[in-house]
Amino acid sequence: MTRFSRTLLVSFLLAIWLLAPFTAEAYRIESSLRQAQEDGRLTPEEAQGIQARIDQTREQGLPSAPFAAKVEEGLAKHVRAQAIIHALDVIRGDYVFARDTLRRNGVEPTPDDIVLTGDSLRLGLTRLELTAMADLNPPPPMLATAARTRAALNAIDFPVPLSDKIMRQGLSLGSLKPGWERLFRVVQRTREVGIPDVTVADAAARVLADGGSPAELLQELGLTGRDTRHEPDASK
Amino acid sequence: MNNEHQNNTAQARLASGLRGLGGMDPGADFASCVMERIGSAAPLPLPKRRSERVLDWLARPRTVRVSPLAGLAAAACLLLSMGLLLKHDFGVGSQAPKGLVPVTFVLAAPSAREVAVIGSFNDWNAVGWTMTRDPSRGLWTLSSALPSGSHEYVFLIDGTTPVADVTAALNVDDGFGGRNSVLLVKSDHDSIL
Repeated sequence: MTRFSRTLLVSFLLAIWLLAPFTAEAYRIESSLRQAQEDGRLTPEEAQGIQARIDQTREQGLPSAPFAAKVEEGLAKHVRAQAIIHALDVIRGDYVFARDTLRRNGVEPTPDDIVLTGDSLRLGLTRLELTAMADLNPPPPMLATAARTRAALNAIDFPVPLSDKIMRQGLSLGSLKPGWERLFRVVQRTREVGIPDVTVADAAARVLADGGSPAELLQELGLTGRDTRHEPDASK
Repeated sequence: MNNEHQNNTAQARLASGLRGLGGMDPGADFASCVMERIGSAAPLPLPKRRSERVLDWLARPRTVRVSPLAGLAAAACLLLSMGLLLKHDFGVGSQAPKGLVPVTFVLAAPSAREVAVIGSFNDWNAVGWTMTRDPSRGLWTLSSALPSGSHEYVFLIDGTTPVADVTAALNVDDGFGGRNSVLLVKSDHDSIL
Protein backbone atom coordinates (compact mmCIF):
# COMPACT_ATOMS: atom_id res chain seq x y z
CA MET A 1 0.00 0.00 0.00
CA THR A 2 1.51 3.32 -0.99
CA ARG A 3 1.92 6.18 1.40
CA PHE A 4 -0.80 8.11 -0.42
CA SER A 5 -3.25 5.24 -0.08
CA ARG A 6 -2.41 4.86 3.60
CA THR A 7 -2.98 8.56 4.22
CA LEU A 8 -6.25 8.40 2.31
CA LEU A 9 -7.41 5.39 4.30
CA VAL A 10 -6.49 6.94 7.67
CA SER A 11 -8.18 10.24 6.73
CA PHE A 12 -11.31 8.41 5.66
CA LEU A 13 -11.48 6.36 8.85
CA LEU A 14 -10.84 9.45 10.97
CA ALA A 15 -13.63 11.32 9.20
CA ILE A 16 -16.01 8.42 9.76
CA TRP A 17 -15.01 8.27 13.43
CA LEU A 18 -15.61 11.99 13.91
CA LEU A 19 -18.89 12.00 12.03
CA ALA A 20 -20.30 8.90 13.70
CA PRO A 21 -21.90 10.71 16.67
CA PHE A 22 -23.57 13.27 14.40
CA THR A 23 -24.85 10.56 12.10
CA ALA A 24 -26.19 8.61 15.07
CA GLU A 25 -27.84 11.73 16.47
CA ALA A 26 -29.44 12.61 13.12
CA TYR A 27 -30.68 9.05 12.74
CA ARG A 28 -32.09 9.05 16.28
CA ILE A 29 -34.06 12.25 15.79
CA GLU A 30 -35.38 11.13 12.40
CA SER A 31 -36.40 7.83 13.93
CA SER A 32 -38.18 9.59 16.83
CA LEU A 33 -40.06 11.89 14.46
CA ARG A 34 -41.09 8.96 12.26
CA GLN A 35 -42.30 7.02 15.29
CA ALA A 36 -44.29 10.03 16.50
CA GLN A 37 -45.97 10.26 13.09
CA GLU A 38 -46.81 6.56 13.16
CA ASP A 39 -48.29 7.00 16.64
CA GLY A 40 -50.42 9.86 15.34
CA ARG A 41 -48.78 12.41 17.64
CA LEU A 42 -47.30 14.47 14.79
CA THR A 43 -48.53 15.25 11.30
CA PRO A 44 -45.97 15.04 8.46
CA GLU A 45 -46.00 18.85 8.27
CA GLU A 46 -45.26 19.17 11.99
CA ALA A 47 -42.44 16.63 11.76
CA GLN A 48 -40.98 18.55 8.83
CA GLY A 49 -41.23 21.80 10.80
CA ILE A 50 -39.28 20.28 13.69
CA GLN A 51 -36.70 18.73 11.37
CA ALA A 52 -36.26 22.10 9.63
CA ARG A 53 -35.43 23.73 12.99
CA ILE A 54 -32.79 21.10 13.71
CA ASP A 55 -31.27 21.58 10.25
CA GLN A 56 -31.26 25.34 10.78
CA THR A 57 -29.19 25.03 13.97
CA ARG A 58 -26.60 22.96 12.10
CA GLU A 59 -26.43 25.53 9.34
CA GLN A 60 -25.88 28.26 11.94
CA GLY A 61 -23.01 26.30 13.47
CA LEU A 62 -24.77 25.87 16.80
CA PRO A 63 -24.40 22.67 18.85
CA SER A 64 -27.33 20.56 17.65
CA ALA A 65 -27.41 17.92 20.41
CA PRO A 66 -29.41 20.09 22.88
CA PHE A 67 -32.01 20.74 20.16
CA ALA A 68 -32.37 17.05 19.43
CA ALA A 69 -32.65 16.43 23.18
CA LYS A 70 -35.37 19.07 23.48
CA VAL A 71 -37.37 17.35 20.73
CA GLU A 72 -36.98 14.00 22.51
CA GLU A 73 -38.06 15.66 25.75
CA GLY A 74 -41.13 17.21 24.14
CA LEU A 75 -42.17 13.96 22.49
CA ALA A 76 -41.66 12.02 25.74
CA LYS A 77 -43.82 14.52 27.61
CA HIS A 78 -46.51 14.41 24.89
CA VAL A 79 -46.12 18.12 24.24
CA ARG A 80 -47.92 19.63 21.22
CA ALA A 81 -45.80 20.07 18.09
CA GLN A 82 -46.25 23.86 18.08
CA ALA A 83 -44.89 24.02 21.65
CA ILE A 84 -41.85 21.97 20.62
CA ILE A 85 -41.22 24.24 17.63
CA HIS A 86 -41.60 27.31 19.84
CA ALA A 87 -39.17 25.89 22.41
CA LEU A 88 -36.62 25.18 19.65
CA ASP A 89 -36.92 28.74 18.36
CA VAL A 90 -36.41 30.13 21.88
CA ILE A 91 -33.33 27.95 22.46
CA ARG A 92 -31.88 28.96 19.09
CA GLY A 93 -32.32 32.63 20.00
CA ASP A 94 -30.68 32.04 23.38
CA TYR A 95 -27.75 30.14 21.89
CA VAL A 96 -27.11 32.75 19.20
CA PHE A 97 -27.17 35.49 21.83
CA ALA A 98 -24.92 33.44 24.13
CA ARG A 99 -22.43 32.73 21.33
CA ASP A 100 -22.28 36.37 20.26
CA THR A 101 -21.79 37.52 23.85
CA LEU A 102 -19.11 34.92 24.57
CA ARG A 103 -17.24 35.99 21.41
CA ARG A 104 -17.02 39.59 22.50
CA ASN A 105 -13.47 39.44 23.82
CA GLY A 106 -12.27 37.87 20.56
CA VAL A 107 -11.95 34.28 21.77
CA GLU A 108 -14.08 31.65 20.03
CA PRO A 109 -16.22 29.83 22.62
CA THR A 110 -16.45 26.05 22.73
CA PRO A 111 -19.79 24.32 22.09
CA ASP A 112 -19.92 23.46 25.82
CA ASP A 113 -19.59 27.14 26.74
CA ILE A 114 -22.40 28.06 24.34
CA VAL A 115 -24.68 25.35 25.73
CA LEU A 116 -23.93 26.25 29.37
CA THR A 117 -24.53 29.95 28.74
CA GLY A 118 -27.52 29.50 26.42
CA ASP A 119 -29.24 27.13 28.86
CA SER A 120 -28.62 29.63 31.66
CA LEU A 121 -30.83 32.10 29.80
CA ARG A 122 -33.62 29.52 29.93
CA LEU A 123 -32.95 28.76 33.59
CA GLY A 124 -33.45 32.33 34.76
CA LEU A 125 -30.53 34.53 33.70
CA THR A 126 -31.55 37.69 31.85
CA ARG A 127 -29.77 38.88 28.72
CA LEU A 128 -29.06 42.17 30.46
CA GLU A 129 -27.28 40.35 33.29
CA LEU A 130 -25.24 38.29 30.82
CA THR A 131 -24.22 41.41 28.90
CA ALA A 132 -23.21 43.18 32.12
CA MET A 133 -20.99 40.26 33.10
CA ALA A 134 -19.48 40.10 29.59
CA ASP A 135 -18.52 43.77 29.96
CA LEU A 136 -15.89 42.63 32.47
CA ASN A 137 -14.19 40.72 29.62
CA PRO A 138 -13.80 37.32 31.24
CA PRO A 139 -12.66 34.38 29.09
CA PRO A 140 -15.60 32.40 27.61
CA PRO A 141 -15.39 29.42 30.04
CA MET A 142 -15.47 31.77 33.05
CA LEU A 143 -18.37 33.76 31.64
CA ALA A 144 -20.23 30.48 31.06
CA THR A 145 -19.62 29.50 34.69
CA ALA A 146 -20.82 32.91 35.85
CA ALA A 147 -23.94 32.61 33.69
CA ARG A 148 -24.89 29.25 35.19
CA THR A 149 -24.04 30.39 38.74
CA ARG A 150 -26.18 33.48 38.43
CA ALA A 151 -29.06 31.66 36.73
CA ALA A 152 -29.26 29.24 39.66
CA LEU A 153 -29.10 32.11 42.17
CA ASN A 154 -31.95 33.83 40.32
CA ALA A 155 -33.94 30.59 40.39
CA ILE A 156 -33.79 30.52 44.20
CA ASP A 157 -34.59 34.26 44.45
CA PHE A 158 -31.19 35.32 45.70
CA PRO A 159 -31.19 39.16 45.79
CA VAL A 160 -29.95 40.62 42.49
CA PRO A 161 -27.60 43.24 44.05
CA LEU A 162 -25.89 40.51 46.07
CA SER A 163 -25.47 38.33 42.95
CA ASP A 164 -24.01 41.39 41.19
CA LYS A 165 -21.46 41.81 43.95
CA ILE A 166 -20.34 38.17 43.89
CA MET A 167 -20.14 37.95 40.09
CA ARG A 168 -18.25 41.23 39.78
CA GLN A 169 -15.72 40.05 42.35
CA GLY A 170 -15.21 36.64 40.77
CA LEU A 171 -15.02 37.88 37.18
CA SER A 172 -12.80 40.88 37.80
CA LEU A 173 -10.34 38.79 39.84
CA GLY A 174 -10.58 35.80 37.53
CA SER A 175 -11.38 33.48 40.41
CA LEU A 176 -14.88 32.31 39.40
CA LYS A 177 -13.82 28.82 38.43
CA PRO A 178 -15.95 25.75 37.59
CA GLY A 179 -17.52 24.53 40.82
CA TRP A 180 -19.04 27.88 41.71
CA GLU A 181 -22.20 26.79 39.85
CA ARG A 182 -22.99 25.04 43.13
CA LEU A 183 -23.11 28.32 45.05
CA PHE A 184 -26.90 28.08 45.13
CA ARG A 185 -26.56 24.89 47.18
CA VAL A 186 -24.51 26.83 49.74
CA VAL A 187 -27.22 29.48 49.87
CA GLN A 188 -29.90 26.81 50.35
CA ARG A 189 -27.95 25.35 53.25
CA THR A 190 -27.27 28.69 54.89
CA ARG A 191 -30.94 29.61 54.61
CA GLU A 192 -31.82 26.36 56.36
CA VAL A 193 -29.71 27.36 59.35
CA GLY A 194 -30.86 30.98 59.30
CA ILE A 195 -27.79 32.73 57.91
CA PRO A 196 -28.84 35.89 55.98
CA ASP A 197 -28.11 36.07 52.24
CA VAL A 198 -26.07 39.25 52.72
CA THR A 199 -23.70 37.38 55.05
CA VAL A 200 -23.24 34.69 52.41
CA ALA A 201 -22.56 37.31 49.73
CA ASP A 202 -19.93 39.04 51.89
CA ALA A 203 -18.25 35.73 52.67
CA ALA A 204 -18.36 34.66 49.01
CA ALA A 205 -16.66 37.90 47.98
CA ARG A 206 -13.90 37.28 50.53
CA VAL A 207 -13.40 33.68 49.42
CA LEU A 208 -13.28 34.71 45.77
CA ALA A 209 -10.69 37.36 46.63
CA ASP A 210 -8.55 34.55 48.03
CA GLY A 211 -9.19 32.36 44.97
CA GLY A 212 -11.19 29.85 47.02
CA SER A 213 -14.05 27.47 46.19
CA PRO A 214 -17.62 26.98 47.47
CA ALA A 215 -16.29 24.34 49.86
CA GLU A 216 -14.08 26.98 51.46
CA LEU A 217 -17.07 29.31 51.57
CA LEU A 218 -18.90 26.74 53.68
CA GLN A 219 -15.99 26.66 56.08
CA GLU A 220 -15.85 30.45 56.11
CA LEU A 221 -19.51 30.44 57.15
CA GLY A 222 -18.84 27.95 59.92
CA LEU A 223 -20.70 25.07 58.32
CA THR A 224 -19.33 21.57 58.03
CA GLY A 225 -18.56 20.35 54.56
CA ARG A 226 -20.71 17.27 54.86
CA ASP A 227 -24.45 17.44 54.78
CA THR A 228 -25.30 15.16 57.68
CA ARG A 229 -28.97 14.89 56.77
CA HIS A 230 -28.19 12.32 54.11
CA GLU A 231 -26.35 9.04 54.03
CA PRO A 232 -22.70 9.25 52.96
CA ASP A 233 -23.56 7.94 49.49
CA ALA A 234 -26.55 10.16 48.91
CA SER A 235 -26.02 12.36 45.90
CA LYS A 236 -28.60 15.04 46.34
CA MET B 1 -19.04 -25.32 -37.98
CA ASN B 2 -15.42 -26.35 -37.47
CA ASN B 3 -16.22 -27.98 -34.09
CA GLU B 4 -18.99 -30.04 -35.59
CA HIS B 5 -16.63 -31.33 -38.22
CA GLN B 6 -14.05 -32.30 -35.58
CA ASN B 7 -16.71 -34.13 -33.53
CA ASN B 8 -17.85 -36.10 -36.54
CA THR B 9 -14.27 -37.11 -37.34
CA ALA B 10 -13.63 -38.26 -33.74
CA GLN B 11 -16.84 -40.30 -33.68
CA ALA B 12 -15.98 -41.97 -37.00
CA ARG B 13 -12.49 -42.84 -35.66
CA LEU B 14 -13.96 -44.34 -32.48
CA ALA B 15 -16.50 -46.44 -34.44
CA SER B 16 -13.75 -47.71 -36.71
CA GLY B 17 -11.61 -48.74 -33.68
CA LEU B 18 -14.52 -50.57 -32.08
CA ARG B 19 -15.23 -52.44 -35.29
CA GLY B 20 -11.54 -53.48 -35.39
CA LEU B 21 -11.85 -55.24 -32.02
CA GLY B 22 -13.91 -58.00 -33.64
CA GLY B 23 -16.23 -60.31 -31.72
CA MET B 24 -14.50 -60.59 -28.32
CA ASP B 25 -16.34 -62.77 -25.80
CA PRO B 26 -16.08 -61.57 -22.18
CA GLY B 27 -16.60 -65.09 -20.91
CA ALA B 28 -19.31 -66.65 -18.73
CA ASP B 29 -17.72 -65.62 -15.41
CA PHE B 30 -17.25 -61.99 -16.37
CA ALA B 31 -19.98 -60.67 -14.07
CA SER B 32 -18.87 -62.76 -11.06
CA CYS B 33 -15.24 -61.64 -11.54
CA VAL B 34 -16.30 -58.04 -11.55
CA MET B 35 -18.41 -58.46 -8.39
CA GLU B 36 -15.53 -60.27 -6.65
CA ARG B 37 -13.15 -57.46 -7.41
CA ILE B 38 -15.66 -54.92 -6.11
CA GLY B 39 -16.19 -56.94 -2.93
CA SER B 40 -12.46 -57.19 -2.22
CA ALA B 41 -11.87 -53.46 -2.68
CA ALA B 42 -11.39 -51.24 0.43
CA PRO B 43 -14.69 -49.69 1.57
CA LEU B 44 -15.30 -46.09 0.60
CA PRO B 45 -15.18 -43.59 3.49
CA LEU B 46 -18.57 -42.57 4.92
CA PRO B 47 -19.75 -39.04 4.05
CA LYS B 48 -18.88 -36.47 6.75
CA ARG B 49 -21.51 -34.97 8.95
CA ARG B 50 -22.66 -31.43 8.26
CA SER B 51 -20.91 -29.98 11.34
CA GLU B 52 -17.61 -31.57 10.29
CA ARG B 53 -17.97 -30.19 6.78
CA VAL B 54 -18.60 -26.69 8.19
CA LEU B 55 -15.58 -27.03 10.47
CA ASP B 56 -13.43 -28.12 7.54
CA TRP B 57 -14.67 -25.18 5.50
CA LEU B 58 -13.85 -22.76 8.30
CA ALA B 59 -10.41 -24.27 8.99
CA ARG B 60 -9.31 -24.45 5.36
CA PRO B 61 -7.09 -21.50 4.44
CA ARG B 62 -8.34 -19.51 1.50
CA THR B 63 -7.62 -16.30 -0.32
CA VAL B 64 -10.24 -13.58 -0.02
CA ARG B 65 -10.19 -10.86 -2.62
CA VAL B 66 -11.70 -7.56 -1.51
CA SER B 67 -11.74 -4.31 -3.42
CA PRO B 68 -10.33 -1.26 -1.58
CA LEU B 69 -13.79 0.31 -1.61
CA ALA B 70 -15.39 -2.71 0.05
CA GLY B 71 -12.55 -2.83 2.58
CA LEU B 72 -13.05 0.82 3.47
CA ALA B 73 -16.79 0.31 3.81
CA ALA B 74 -16.26 -2.67 6.10
CA ALA B 75 -13.77 -0.72 8.23
CA ALA B 76 -16.18 2.21 8.43
CA CYS B 77 -19.01 -0.05 9.57
CA LEU B 78 -16.77 -1.58 12.21
CA LEU B 79 -15.69 1.82 13.50
CA LEU B 80 -19.26 3.09 13.47
CA SER B 81 -20.49 0.18 15.54
CA MET B 82 -17.59 0.59 17.96
CA GLY B 83 -18.38 4.28 18.29
CA LEU B 84 -22.02 3.59 19.01
CA LEU B 85 -21.03 0.96 21.55
CA LEU B 86 -18.75 3.42 23.34
CA LYS B 87 -21.48 6.03 23.33
CA HIS B 88 -23.90 3.60 24.91
CA ASP B 89 -25.21 4.93 28.18
CA PHE B 90 -24.82 2.79 31.26
CA GLY B 91 -28.38 2.52 32.42
CA VAL B 92 -30.32 1.04 35.25
CA GLY B 93 -28.99 -2.05 36.86
CA SER B 94 -25.46 -1.56 35.60
CA GLN B 95 -22.71 -1.61 38.14
CA ALA B 96 -21.45 1.97 38.43
CA PRO B 97 -18.28 2.17 36.32
CA LYS B 98 -15.53 4.57 37.22
CA GLY B 99 -16.73 8.17 36.89
CA LEU B 100 -20.38 7.36 37.51
CA VAL B 101 -22.04 8.14 40.81
CA PRO B 102 -24.83 6.03 42.38
CA VAL B 103 -28.13 7.92 42.51
CA THR B 104 -31.55 6.95 43.89
CA PHE B 105 -34.77 8.58 42.69
CA VAL B 106 -37.77 8.48 45.01
CA LEU B 107 -41.36 9.58 44.34
CA ALA B 108 -44.46 9.31 46.50
CA ALA B 109 -47.32 8.52 44.12
CA PRO B 110 -49.62 5.94 45.72
CA SER B 111 -52.27 6.07 42.97
CA ALA B 112 -49.87 5.75 40.01
CA ARG B 113 -49.95 2.55 37.99
CA GLU B 114 -46.48 3.03 36.48
CA VAL B 115 -43.72 5.60 36.99
CA ALA B 116 -40.50 6.10 35.04
CA VAL B 117 -37.66 8.61 35.26
CA ILE B 118 -36.87 10.50 32.07
CA GLY B 119 -34.15 13.09 31.78
CA SER B 120 -31.13 14.47 29.98
CA PHE B 121 -29.13 11.43 31.13
CA ASN B 122 -31.31 8.91 29.22
CA ASP B 123 -32.33 11.03 26.22
CA TRP B 124 -35.77 11.41 27.81
CA ASN B 125 -36.46 7.77 27.03
CA ALA B 126 -38.38 5.84 29.66
CA VAL B 127 -37.37 2.42 28.35
CA GLY B 128 -35.37 0.69 31.08
CA TRP B 129 -35.98 3.47 33.59
CA THR B 130 -39.19 2.24 35.19
CA MET B 131 -39.37 2.72 38.95
CA THR B 132 -40.23 0.00 41.41
CA ARG B 133 -43.16 0.40 43.77
CA ASP B 134 -43.01 -0.22 47.49
CA PRO B 135 -46.71 -0.99 48.20
CA SER B 136 -46.41 -0.59 51.96
CA ARG B 137 -45.24 3.03 51.73
CA GLY B 138 -46.62 4.02 48.31
CA LEU B 139 -43.13 5.04 47.24
CA TRP B 140 -41.60 4.52 43.83
CA THR B 141 -37.81 4.14 43.75
CA LEU B 142 -35.11 3.65 41.17
CA SER B 143 -31.37 3.31 41.69
CA SER B 144 -28.92 4.04 38.91
CA ALA B 145 -25.52 5.61 38.28
CA LEU B 146 -24.95 8.93 36.53
CA PRO B 147 -21.93 10.98 35.50
CA SER B 148 -21.13 14.00 37.63
CA GLY B 149 -22.63 17.29 36.54
CA SER B 150 -26.03 18.89 36.21
CA HIS B 151 -28.96 16.81 34.89
CA GLU B 152 -32.58 17.76 34.24
CA TYR B 153 -35.32 15.19 34.77
CA VAL B 154 -38.98 14.56 35.58
CA PHE B 155 -41.05 11.59 36.65
CA LEU B 156 -43.36 10.26 33.93
CA ILE B 157 -46.52 8.94 35.56
CA ASP B 158 -48.57 6.32 33.69
CA GLY B 159 -46.63 7.08 30.51
CA THR B 160 -48.28 10.43 29.92
CA THR B 161 -48.00 12.85 32.84
CA PRO B 162 -44.64 14.51 33.57
CA VAL B 163 -44.17 15.58 37.18
CA ALA B 164 -41.23 17.50 38.64
CA ASP B 165 -39.47 16.23 41.76
CA VAL B 166 -40.62 18.42 44.65
CA THR B 167 -37.62 17.32 46.72
CA ALA B 168 -35.08 18.46 44.10
CA ALA B 169 -32.72 21.28 44.97
CA LEU B 170 -33.91 23.23 41.95
CA ASN B 171 -36.86 23.16 39.57
CA VAL B 172 -36.60 25.15 36.35
CA ASP B 173 -38.69 26.09 33.30
CA ASP B 174 -38.63 23.30 30.72
CA GLY B 175 -39.46 25.57 27.77
CA PHE B 176 -42.86 23.91 27.25
CA GLY B 177 -44.63 25.61 30.12
CA GLY B 178 -43.75 22.88 32.62
CA ARG B 179 -40.95 22.36 35.12
CA ASN B 180 -37.85 20.17 35.12
CA SER B 181 -36.00 19.17 38.26
CA VAL B 182 -32.27 19.70 38.39
CA LEU B 183 -30.04 17.04 39.84
CA LEU B 184 -26.46 17.96 40.71
CA VAL B 185 -24.36 14.84 40.79
CA LYS B 186 -21.15 15.32 42.71
CA SER B 187 -17.86 13.97 41.53
CA ASP B 188 -15.54 12.25 44.00
CA HIS B 189 -13.28 15.26 44.39
CA ASP B 190 -15.99 17.82 45.17
CA SER B 191 -18.20 15.76 47.42
CA ILE B 192 -18.10 18.47 50.06
CA LEU B 193 -21.38 19.99 48.84
